[in-house]
Amino acid sequence: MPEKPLIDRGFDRFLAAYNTPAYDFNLNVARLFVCAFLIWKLFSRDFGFFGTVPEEIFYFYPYHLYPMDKWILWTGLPVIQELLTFHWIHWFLPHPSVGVLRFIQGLTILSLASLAIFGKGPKSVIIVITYSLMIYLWGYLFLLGQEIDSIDLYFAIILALGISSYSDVPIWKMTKLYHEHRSAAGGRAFSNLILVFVFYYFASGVNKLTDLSILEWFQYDLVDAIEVHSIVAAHSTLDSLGFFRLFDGFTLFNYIGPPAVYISHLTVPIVFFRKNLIPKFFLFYFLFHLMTFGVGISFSGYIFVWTALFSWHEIIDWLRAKRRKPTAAR
Amino acid sequence: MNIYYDGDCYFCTNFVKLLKLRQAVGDVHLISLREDNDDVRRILASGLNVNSGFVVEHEGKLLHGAQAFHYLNTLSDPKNILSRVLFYVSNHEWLARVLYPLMVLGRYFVLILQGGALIDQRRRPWQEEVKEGLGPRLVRIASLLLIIVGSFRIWLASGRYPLTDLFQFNVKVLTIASLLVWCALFFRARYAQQIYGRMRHADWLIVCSYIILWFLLVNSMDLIALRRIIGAIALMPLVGIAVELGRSNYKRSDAGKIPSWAPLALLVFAFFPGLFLAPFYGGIAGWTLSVDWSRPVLVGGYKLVNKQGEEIWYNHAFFQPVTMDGRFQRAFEVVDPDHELLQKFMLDNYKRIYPMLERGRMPHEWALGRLAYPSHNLSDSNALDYVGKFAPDRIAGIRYVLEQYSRAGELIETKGGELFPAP
Repeated sequence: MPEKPLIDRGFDRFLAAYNTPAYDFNLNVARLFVCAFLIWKLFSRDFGFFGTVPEEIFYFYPYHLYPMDKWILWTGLPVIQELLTFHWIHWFLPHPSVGVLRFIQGLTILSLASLAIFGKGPKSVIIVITYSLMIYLWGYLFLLGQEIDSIDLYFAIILALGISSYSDVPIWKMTKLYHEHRSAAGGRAFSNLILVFVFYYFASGVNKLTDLSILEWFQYDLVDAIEVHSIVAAHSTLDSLGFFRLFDGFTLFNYIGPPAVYISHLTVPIVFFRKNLIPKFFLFYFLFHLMTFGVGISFSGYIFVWTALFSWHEIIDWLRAKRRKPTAAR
Repeated sequence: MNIYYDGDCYFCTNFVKLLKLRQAVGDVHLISLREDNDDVRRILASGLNVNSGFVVEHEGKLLHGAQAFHYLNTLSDPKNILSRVLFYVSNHEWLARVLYPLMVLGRYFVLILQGGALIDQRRRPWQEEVKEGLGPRLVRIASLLLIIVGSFRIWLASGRYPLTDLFQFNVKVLTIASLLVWCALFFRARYAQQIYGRMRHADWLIVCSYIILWFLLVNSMDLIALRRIIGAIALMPLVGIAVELGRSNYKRSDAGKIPSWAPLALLVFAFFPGLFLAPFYGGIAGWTLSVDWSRPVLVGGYKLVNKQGEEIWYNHAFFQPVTMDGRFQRAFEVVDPDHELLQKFMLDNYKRIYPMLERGRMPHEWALGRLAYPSHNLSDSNALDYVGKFAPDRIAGIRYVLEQYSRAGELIETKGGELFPAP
């Protein structure tokens, strides 16, 4: 029998990895983590602000931002974005006031808390409501031509959990779930979560191939940019962390740091096949996103997001074993 | 009666179906010349140019092109508007002679748009490993689109976006090479089938060659927007493979819809140029950063000015949850280039958030204080600096300031805009 083509063999490996059983418990922990993060974020923002923005400023699409040669967000278009963010309702209704927006923000926090505590709910009603409220609120940001808020992965995780079938339980049943074995459904749902990360980071990597030549990979003066930022921060209301001054003069880092990040983006699909690499990617991205603080940009949300993929079941197993050992010795 | 027509051509297929041939004709067999059977082989071997007209075989006669067109119409029973028009045309020979070539041209045009190819007279369908389908069509469409993008770039070069010598050469080579490739693919249908077949059954050598080709194509262009488009176009054959994988696997019990279509989704998500479907966008763009220490470090922004003439930076955290302040301010600029609307908004916003500042908190710290999620552009948490001296009733106005600093952090120069007075 002739050997299968490379692509089919690759796809078979992909399927095998996709179907590898995993603990449903981990997915419930991921749900808790994502909800906790988003609640934190919502308690750290005042969406009422958008109730004060003049009507004529809405909406501001990417094509307003850049000339043609730099226009990079092609599908950030009217109608499409409004449909996706539920802002189509403002084709009929005026924008809400500060008070109403704050009320919606409060509802979103409640909804996230419900999702954390009760799970997706019957027919996924809780997760659908939560997503709808969130996308409406963040729609204000996206529709002002701002796509970056370290939030995309969290939205995607919620969607991935929403479309996955696994044992989703309320918080008080998680102890029981912890004692259950790995399941095929849990494995597939967990694979969906990993795919979210693969999609997002890989796409970012592809941009580095299309937007830059390979030579340009080595033309990011990160160390000098950190120094510039420290000067700017010292004379403005921008903040900087003194720690980054340690990089002063270490220009070799310019040729290591950015290319390493680009390579990590492009190689991220490997975590789908080798899940033991997740902690290593977490560590790398923890450091990378921390580095962006050096130039005054906070990607705080993404510093920890990889922990949603941790095998919390095994971590708890390990901790319990650690606790048991001294007792056994006695 | 046998009617041989191009089954890949939307026009031809519908024309043949539209004809209401009289019952007297007897059995009518519509045979696509893209199929493989003894009749097709016979017609292909007959030497008739099947690309310039269809073929009718009836009662021992073999008719071709305009002749076949006229013949069919004399046998048709016009019942609908289009067949009546055709009947009328074919009954006027001069009109038929004019119209038929136009119909043939129309067929070429539709075929090109469909990613099809001409029928290869020397075709050996029974020897083809890969049949015509989405994959080969995407190979042809990709080469066609490369010609269009290349030509577009050359056209742009005559206006606002001139090309450097190097890129002028690259773009011309890309355009001409794509044109030659497309011609070959259009005139010899099997070439695209073979290319797609090789890719579908690729070994590592082909994978590496494809990646190198992809790099060369992308790097032949200078503008980022066009580089991204070329990156997506060059990937189109892979899209065909991903669709094939999805179609053939999604019903498998060990696969299902999500993993079967995941490769296609990944290709679309990662390579579709400028994907932004809220809340998702196709990742952060690539850019370079060059710091020139021979030039001063610029610190710009708005400052609040109080009635004593003292100034303080307008903290960008006052704009939270906005993450990209520059873009937010651009939105105002677009509406009001004089910045009056922006400055008025800033003053109103300041007045609104001031009670929060009096509590020692920035707006985003309203609930959690210092434990709040930081603002996207790291900001000083200096709420108390504003309290008292910069109370709203003591504010004289706001103005844009640009300061220049040396590398040592010494102030070199300050440029200030006019004061926009508080109401």
